[in-house]
Amino acid sequence: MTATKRSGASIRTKLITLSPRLRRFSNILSGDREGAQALMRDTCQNILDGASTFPEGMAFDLWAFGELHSQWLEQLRSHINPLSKGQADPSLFEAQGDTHSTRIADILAKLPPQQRSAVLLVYGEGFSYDEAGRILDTTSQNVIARVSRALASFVERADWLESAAASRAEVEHLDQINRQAG
Amino acid sequence: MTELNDELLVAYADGQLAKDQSKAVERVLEEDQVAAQRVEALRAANAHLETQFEAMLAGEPVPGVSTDISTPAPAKGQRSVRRVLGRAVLFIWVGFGCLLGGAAAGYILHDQILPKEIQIVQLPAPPAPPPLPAPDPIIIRIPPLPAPPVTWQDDAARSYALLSRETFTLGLDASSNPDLVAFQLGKALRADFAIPDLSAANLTFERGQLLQRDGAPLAQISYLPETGAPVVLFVLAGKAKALALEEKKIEGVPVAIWREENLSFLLAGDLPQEKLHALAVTIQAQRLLAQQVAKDAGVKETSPAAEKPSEPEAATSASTVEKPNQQN
Repeated sequence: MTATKRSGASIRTKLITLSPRLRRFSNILSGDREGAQALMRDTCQNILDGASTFPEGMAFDLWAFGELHSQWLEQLRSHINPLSKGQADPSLFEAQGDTHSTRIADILAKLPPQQRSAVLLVYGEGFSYDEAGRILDTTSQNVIARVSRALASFVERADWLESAAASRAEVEHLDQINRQAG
Repeated sequence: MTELNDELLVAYADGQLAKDQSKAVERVLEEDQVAAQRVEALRAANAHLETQFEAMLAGEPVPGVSTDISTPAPAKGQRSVRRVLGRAVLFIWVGFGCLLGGAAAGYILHDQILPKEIQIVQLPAPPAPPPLPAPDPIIIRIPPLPAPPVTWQDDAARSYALLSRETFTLGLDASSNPDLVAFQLGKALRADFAIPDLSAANLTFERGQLLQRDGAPLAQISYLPETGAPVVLFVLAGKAKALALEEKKIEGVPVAIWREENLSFLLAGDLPQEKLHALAVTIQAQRLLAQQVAKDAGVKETSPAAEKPSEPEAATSASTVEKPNQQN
């Protein structure tokens, strides 16, 4: 087997392993199901075709997330009126059967994609501000600004935070009662 | 009263400030209940988002490669490791600012807190951290990817690749003469060649056909039993090391393969291994016998090296040979 083939197989395996996380990022960026699928498909195709070369020594996930973001920008540029895309579909972001999750998904859907992607990369993926900046092709300072604006939007809707905290306390209380009961 | 902006508080809540900056913020928060509550609210929002993103990932289909790790990627683990490393080795890009709320606050800021809103300063690199102990290796066992299913289109494309112009344009006049078939195929293969007689195994010679593989002639000699699937002998011309007879399955088809000096053989048939082996041995024996007879008669064996490459005309004259009338 040639080195190229080995490398191709290795990238394919890594891509398969990473695909759920990439798909989540794709959903967050695109905000609509069809667009997210197209974005995911085109990105994977580019990576597998070797349209851009994976730089040695770089973390694969960091590179792949950056590729997906670049592809999203490409798609956005080719869109006749990118601003006309409208609000994201909240059902893409929610966990089924959880009303609290639905509320968070609604707020996420109202955020601009730049803020959504920044909070996903930092809180969902655990990337540092600097790494998130590399993926989003911006500075770490911009990442902090986006994250803080996104969090501020959540805090402004403090009612759901309080209700979430209350329901969590209630669940914990019930758990405690159940434990004591045996 | 002291006001710290959200960007600074978020960086603090996320643990991405340098140690001395974090301590400075903590001192401010001890005095400023509003800012402390804001940090709590930001942390709560942050925690809710983490849970939400995990739930999104949990709803994703499991990738086609199974690993010892049930979740697709350890984002959480990465997070803490990255943060620790990030804090240890990266330059600090985040300064923080605060606005003094006036003398009434009575709080004097330390000189490392900048008097205005966030300013980005590049501090000198911190001393190199001591080497981290080697982490326990994480072993991920990835089984080989299953081969994609072979479609009929794959098979069709493969069989098309075996066809050449010569496959269709030749030899119809020789269809009733198995000796001529042997002569024509032998000429194309540039070797002495006789159609193996497998009648003892109740196999009737049906057709000889000339295919190609990468430009090299490939003879296909087909036999039919009284019932059941055909048995086909493929012979490919080309110098190769002799190889002993071996039986195996290729893509589910039982085959026997062997090589002589100038010819490679593959006998394919939906037969038990021992029967296929017996047929292959019969073919080998007949070839040995034919070579011995030719030697005794003083006929010089055709040497591919000595002979000129067959002209297109000659090669094409041996192509498709239909079933002869008599049984072999």
